[in-house]
Amino acid sequence: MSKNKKSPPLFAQRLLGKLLPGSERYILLGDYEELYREIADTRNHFTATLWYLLQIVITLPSLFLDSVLWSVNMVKNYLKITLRTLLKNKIFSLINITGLALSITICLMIVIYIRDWRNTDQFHVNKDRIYRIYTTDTRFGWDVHGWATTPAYLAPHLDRSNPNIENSCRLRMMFGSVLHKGSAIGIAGFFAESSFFDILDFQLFSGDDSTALDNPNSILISEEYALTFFGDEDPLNKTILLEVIGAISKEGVRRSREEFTVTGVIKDTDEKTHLNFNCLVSFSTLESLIGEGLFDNELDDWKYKSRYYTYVLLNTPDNAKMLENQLPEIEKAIIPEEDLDKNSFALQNICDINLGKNLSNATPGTKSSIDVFFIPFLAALIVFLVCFNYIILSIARSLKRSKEIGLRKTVGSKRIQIILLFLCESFMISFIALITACLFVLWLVPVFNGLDVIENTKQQINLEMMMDPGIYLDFILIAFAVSIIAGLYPALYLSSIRPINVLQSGKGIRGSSHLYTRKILMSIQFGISMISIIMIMYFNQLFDYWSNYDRGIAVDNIVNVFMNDVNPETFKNEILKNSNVMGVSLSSEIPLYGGNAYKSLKNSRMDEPISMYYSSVDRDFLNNFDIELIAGRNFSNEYSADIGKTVILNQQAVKVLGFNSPEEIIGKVLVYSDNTDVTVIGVVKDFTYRLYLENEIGPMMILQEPVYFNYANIRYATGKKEEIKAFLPEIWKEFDEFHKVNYSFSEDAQEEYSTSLTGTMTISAYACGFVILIALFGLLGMVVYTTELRVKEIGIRKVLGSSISGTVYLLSRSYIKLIVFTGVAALPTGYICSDLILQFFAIRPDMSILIPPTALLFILLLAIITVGSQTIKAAIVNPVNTLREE
Amino acid sequence: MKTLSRREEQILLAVWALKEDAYLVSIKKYLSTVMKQNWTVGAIHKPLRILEKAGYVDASIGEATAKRGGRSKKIYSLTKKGIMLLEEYRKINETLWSSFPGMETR
Repeated sequence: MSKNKKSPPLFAQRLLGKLLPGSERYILLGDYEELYREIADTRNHFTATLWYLLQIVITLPSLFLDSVLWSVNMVKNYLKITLRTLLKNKIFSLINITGLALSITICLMIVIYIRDWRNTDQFHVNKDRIYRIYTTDTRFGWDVHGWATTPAYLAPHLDRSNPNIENSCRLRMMFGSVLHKGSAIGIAGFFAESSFFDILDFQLFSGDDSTALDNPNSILISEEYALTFFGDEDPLNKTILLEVIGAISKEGVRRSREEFTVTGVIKDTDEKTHLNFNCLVSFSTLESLIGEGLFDNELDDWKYKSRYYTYVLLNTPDNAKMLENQLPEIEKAIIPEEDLDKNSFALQNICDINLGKNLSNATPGTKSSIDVFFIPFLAALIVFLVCFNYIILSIARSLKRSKEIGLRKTVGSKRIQIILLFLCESFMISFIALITACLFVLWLVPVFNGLDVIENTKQQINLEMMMDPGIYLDFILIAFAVSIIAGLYPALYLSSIRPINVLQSGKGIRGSSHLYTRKILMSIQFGISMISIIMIMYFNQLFDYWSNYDRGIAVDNIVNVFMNDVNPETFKNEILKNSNVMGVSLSSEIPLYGGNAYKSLKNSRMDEPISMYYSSVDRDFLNNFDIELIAGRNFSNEYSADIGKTVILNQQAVKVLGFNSPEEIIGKVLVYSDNTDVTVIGVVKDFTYRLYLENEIGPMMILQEPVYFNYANIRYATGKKEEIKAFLPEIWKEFDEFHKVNYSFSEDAQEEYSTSLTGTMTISAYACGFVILIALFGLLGMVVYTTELRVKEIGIRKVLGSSISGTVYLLSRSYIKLIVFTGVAALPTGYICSDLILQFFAIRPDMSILIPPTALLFILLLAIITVGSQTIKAAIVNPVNTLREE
Repeated sequence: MKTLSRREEQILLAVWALKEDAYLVSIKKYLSTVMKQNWTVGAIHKPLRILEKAGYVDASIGEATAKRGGRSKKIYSLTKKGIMLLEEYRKINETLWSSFPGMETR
């Protein structure tokens, strides 16, 4: 006890021991203890302990300095060693750097792309106080959270009752056309309240932003439109004739044609925003248009919650939480009781709108996170595959480096130092790869942006992001992550080598377990390659099937003309006089482009009406499009009652309405939309009314309601496309001198669809090719290393009479075996995965059983070429050259 | 010739003076009493290490005592090189000090 009391506390001794330089640790500890005892003897234990602890504190700074000095030295040494090993193993370095560079390139492109989209709406001064309120809706599926909009009366309610809100602004989309010099130019934008410019920082080129949106019939136009309409003149206070498209009703689309005063020109901006518009019209205009009956009375009606965007400016950024807490109360005041369980309000900051929640009716320019959801996974997969290569090659190389490690350990290297050495190596490689990747990005992005699919879908990658210094932090993080993923396992493995095992002559390194790791990683690579090839081939089969699918509707040689205000019947009669025209029908939507209009239909026995696809067509439609009628009759001229009183259904509709056969439903009376009785007169065979074949053909009803006739479908004689193109504008002039004729060829739509499918295929094929390339890279590296190690063995074998083919077989055997075994597992997996995915598509071909073996053969062939190129080279070398030195 | 700091010079002299008993604690005590100020362990150990590396002092492992918690001492002694260095420093110091007459003759 007394002896114990005389020595310093044990923990302090341990701590001090850790801090003291290793070589003299025990002596110094002894010195300290001696001094401690002396103090303890002359004073007391407490003072002595205090002194002892003080010594620890004093030691710290010098220790820190020491370690910094040493690590700088060590890192310098590591870098030197790394550089030497890189240069010594050129193939290893080349394969690794190229592979890593390519995969990092893909990551960088993704980072640029995502940052570019995240970086929107940063130019608003009050961006941390600007919030949009949206309406959640549980009636959507898992991927759509609700409407980007709210009912119109929410904003005034908030202004009245909520002290947290400084200002609010309502927007509503506006579509229309400006009538200018005899032609109509389409224009799209928003009805905006005058608070628009107080909240959002869009700049005006000319005009006064505080008053520009005050008066009815004021319009702000973009610079581009100002130039089109007024040229060099100052557009301020000039008038334009604007036709606003209003609500669609029984009488057709409502339009108003009024004079608008230009009160400002919106400055073009390079800033990215989720609000893209060409014009802003004062909100008071909307109010007067509602008064005129152009729009329904939307402002006080919950039904129109999908139309109005509500932006609020909070007093302080912190008020967002408070407002969020008040939302349930606000909901009670705004949402009708029966919808309270399905709808609620939520806030989103203006900067979180892009790449944020997936909302319906989003403003043009919005991209939701669901659109880029899968991209990071793809990047991670590719990075992991490339890192596998690094691991495989590093382990293979360990045969050569084990002696170096053994020696390092013998002369006193600690394990952590060897781990650091290898991590330093992998970091250096990934850093070189990063620099290469940056160059790749500069070179590849323009190529990528030029691809048809990318250009059509506006998915271009913005290279200007490379100017942003912040992005390089991300880049370095990526390189760092890659180096850890790739380097950690080899570092741990190589540092675990025991010197005794590698330095004792005659003993190689043990580690068959690591051979397994290598094999497992290689089979994962080839497995994924095979699975992706199989899936791509199945998708190719699917897309092929879709391209040649019998749609049940003949759309070749059809041109669809948008009717605008022209009377469809007179136009039809006029056009039929042309000799190139074989037939004309009228419809509410372009077949294949449509599929968006839904109306409800109810069987008298049912409680809930069924919502189904709706189309209004005239009596010639079915003949014109060659749609087969399987029961009943078509609309007829003789039955004037047919207009709006009769309905033709498709087979699906018959099924969902609960009838067993088409004949059974003929003559039955159903309740349509808002309680109109309609009689079923016919049933058509199911045909695809949408371009996309992903979904099953749903139930459909066809009525003859002339008010909805928007298009004339003209069937022309085969080969007369050019004549029709010339003829249409001519005849159109006789009907409408303001608007240009607006037509589209149905076969173009189909072609576009095929192109989009091929585009998806092209990108997937590139990705798949990349995966295979990586796997082959790894294989190549492996073969080069193992054959190099066996050069002498091959020489002796040849001297003893082994044939070239025998040697090649010997060297290649294990790889081919590995791939075949992988195939045994990968082929069924690929088949099952494809099957699971294809299940989602209602229209799909039978899966060809030949595809998996083809994929295996393809990979095997590539592997044989890769392996063969090296093994044949090794096998034909004259043994004299390899054995001479011995 | 190596330039010695004042402190290094004093430590070398202490090592000489303490002969066989010159280890860290005794050096510290000796210097503390002579100079009437407390020296820290580091203030002695660091220069000692430098002097050892430079070859002016030699070290041998001494006996272990219970007082030290059973740990051995590191006994320092001057090498020939060290003695020569001190000799030279004395000459330099005497030359330098000779011009300073001292209190009584001022």
